[in-house]
Amino acid sequence: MSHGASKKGGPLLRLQQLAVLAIMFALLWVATRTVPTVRGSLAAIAATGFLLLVGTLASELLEPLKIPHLTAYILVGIVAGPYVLDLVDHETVTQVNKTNPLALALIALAGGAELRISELRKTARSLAWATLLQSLVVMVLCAIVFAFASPLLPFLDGSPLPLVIGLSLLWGVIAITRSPSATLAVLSQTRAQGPIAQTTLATVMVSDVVVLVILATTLTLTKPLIEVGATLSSSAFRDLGREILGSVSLGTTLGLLLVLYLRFVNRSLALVLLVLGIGLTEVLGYLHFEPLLTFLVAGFIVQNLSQEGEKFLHGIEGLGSLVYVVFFAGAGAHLDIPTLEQLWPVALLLCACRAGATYAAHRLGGRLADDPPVVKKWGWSGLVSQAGVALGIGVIVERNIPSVGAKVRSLVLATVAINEMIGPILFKLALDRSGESRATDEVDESSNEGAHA
Amino acid sequence: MNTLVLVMGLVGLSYLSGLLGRGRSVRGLGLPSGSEWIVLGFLLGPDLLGIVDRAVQLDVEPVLYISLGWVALVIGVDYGVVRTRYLSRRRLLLGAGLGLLTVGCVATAAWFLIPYVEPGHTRLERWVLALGLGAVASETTSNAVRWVAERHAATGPLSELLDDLAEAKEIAPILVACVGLCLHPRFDLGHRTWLNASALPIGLVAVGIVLGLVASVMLSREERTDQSWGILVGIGLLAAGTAARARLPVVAALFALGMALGFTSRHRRRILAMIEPTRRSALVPALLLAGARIGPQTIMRHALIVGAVLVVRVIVLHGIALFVRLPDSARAATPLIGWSMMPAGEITMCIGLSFALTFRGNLGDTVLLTAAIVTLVGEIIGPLSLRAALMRAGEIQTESVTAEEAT
Repeated sequence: MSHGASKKGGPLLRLQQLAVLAIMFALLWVATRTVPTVRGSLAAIAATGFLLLVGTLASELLEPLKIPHLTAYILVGIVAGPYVLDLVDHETVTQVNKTNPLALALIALAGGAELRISELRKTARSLAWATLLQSLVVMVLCAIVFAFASPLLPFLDGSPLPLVIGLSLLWGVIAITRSPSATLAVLSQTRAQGPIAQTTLATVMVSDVVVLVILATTLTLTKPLIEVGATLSSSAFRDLGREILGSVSLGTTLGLLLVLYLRFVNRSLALVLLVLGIGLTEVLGYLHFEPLLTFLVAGFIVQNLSQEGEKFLHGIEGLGSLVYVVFFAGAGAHLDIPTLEQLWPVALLLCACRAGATYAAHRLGGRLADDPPVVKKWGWSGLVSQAGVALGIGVIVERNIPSVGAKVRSLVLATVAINEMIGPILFKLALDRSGESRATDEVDESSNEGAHA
Repeated sequence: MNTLVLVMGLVGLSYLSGLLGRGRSVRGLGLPSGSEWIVLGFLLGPDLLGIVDRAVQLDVEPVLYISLGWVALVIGVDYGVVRTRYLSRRRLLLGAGLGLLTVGCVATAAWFLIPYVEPGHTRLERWVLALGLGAVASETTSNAVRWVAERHAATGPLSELLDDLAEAKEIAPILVACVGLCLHPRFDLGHRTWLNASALPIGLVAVGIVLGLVASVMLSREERTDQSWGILVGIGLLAAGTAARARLPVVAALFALGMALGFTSRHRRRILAMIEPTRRSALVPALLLAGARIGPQTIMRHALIVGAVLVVRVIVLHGIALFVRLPDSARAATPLIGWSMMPAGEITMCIGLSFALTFRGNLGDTVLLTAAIVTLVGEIIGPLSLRAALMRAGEIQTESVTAEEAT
């Protein structure tokens, strides 16, 4: 993720950037209109370049508004995507999103490498309370609100009570998913350091693992409620145990191999990360292991069992600064705007409830863990973002409940769209207000030094 | 073979070639033209080992476009720079003129030879083939000149002259290939072929130049490496993707972009320092896949025209050697200069592949095969002749050669 800014400039620079932006849009518009039949991979090359370039430019252009870069990337995706200008059509978005495993691998590796044991020890009490309460309180409150709001959802009209209860519980699970990608992106842009940054990152990363366990449990328990004739089965737990243990073991091995590589070779790290992100993710999928957990553990091992952590993080940032732009812009282009238009009142209600529950759980956790005042005040803001994991659960729900699953998934898409836009802005605001964001000038200096080096 | 496995394999080979090469130096392990990768591709191709089959080749075509585009971009930014020295305008014009002369002579000869050695082509196809053959038979890769000069620590007016001419010649085959590639029947404008042959290439190059200027403006205020990479990769992919989408020559568009960026950016050295080390890594997948597209049957079918083009190339390069005024100290090397200009490499292969991607079938295969053979023959003859020429000119010490041979 990019951070800081280019050399400061006045209105002339903004005009220049606007002109460049217009040229880029015009070029792709002409290309897509003159050769409309070409789709797929060839169209994806141009679309990837376009999203990367225009996303970078838009983030610079919107910087005076203090908007996080990733929000700018998402906005660019929405504008260029199939529902607005249609410069990047549905098929092309699917092709562009094939780079997502790479982005997610980098996010998990960076997330693991940002977790330092020394820092975790300091925040262990806070982290334990936050994980427990953010999981339980938010899940229960959101499930209750969903159950009460179900009459507002036309597709649940007249549904039997067990189905509504089962869906409410699953909605509760969806509500406790966070977005490691958004958290890392904002942290990377602001270079924030301090209790809020550290606690949020740790909570988000740990909750990603916890969600896996809760999801498997809930799916097993709710199956008899939502599927006629289904019974309780423990096979899901056995599979989950194998998945978690396997991922942790493989992640540890990968982390140790990365340490050796960084120590003895330490060249072309970008290509190594590329192979890991795309190739290894495919292998992990084949083995039914969890890529996010594997890479998270690998990053954690590199940071905490070697001296290579900073070098590794620096390498990830280099490639990540390109990949994240395409990842978030692709996510923007993928946003289902018509669904959002249709379901926004209910989606907004559910989002507000989730944010409220997150805030309440955070205040309670902060009091029990005796968090510093600044964490008590702003610590909840980084937990609002939602992205990939929620969408993944939406797909699982769609697959498991053929009758209403597709509609529930649309609702998930709508709420994720709202949280994806609001969450990063809230988190950045918190980091800025609490003084954890490093001053822009300082960032400029350090990055320029890096560039000269 | 699975597409993903092939892509990962290509990334692995790029990694390997990056490890073997050493930054901006051309003295790393490997041949100057990268011929070894063509041969490897030929062996792995569908007609021999069958590891890289035709279906997978189709699947990875986007990788080829990106690879060709990136190499062309780097060549464009680097155009007119010999190591750390900028070429004089006189040398640039002389080299470009000689390049056009070579292309023109080979293309004209090919135009007249085609009906005899490759019968059955329409008039338009004959034009395309002649231009394609001219373009792939005109390069003298500056890599080989630098490879020999660096390896034997050669310094002097002859090595400098050859290096400069090789560098300046690069523009000619790319421009001519651009014209040939724009003659594709899909751009049919009725009977006005001349319109295709002029308007489309000019338009394409103009768009490339505009994008180069845009990149230059964006990079002028950007000193952070990560952001600079974002701009370069973004604009490269956008240009390559747009040209590929319209089936226009990616190589020409990206070369124009790179050249405009190189000539207008005050950060040219910094940009070159960033992207130059990636040149070899980006080229390797293209060379390997080019080799895999060539089969023994293609060689048998087009051997005559390839042989004819090779003979014409030798004659034209020897003619040029007589035409160029050599430094007094290098007079003794005159008979070897023509042979010394034989090495070809990245531009030839990029153009050959572009033709193969644009004109499926005989036409593209002929140009690609010619490109590969020109590169391989150049690799065998060129560096040896160049070393001998530089020795005759007194620019290489005999001890250096003996030490090299001993190692």
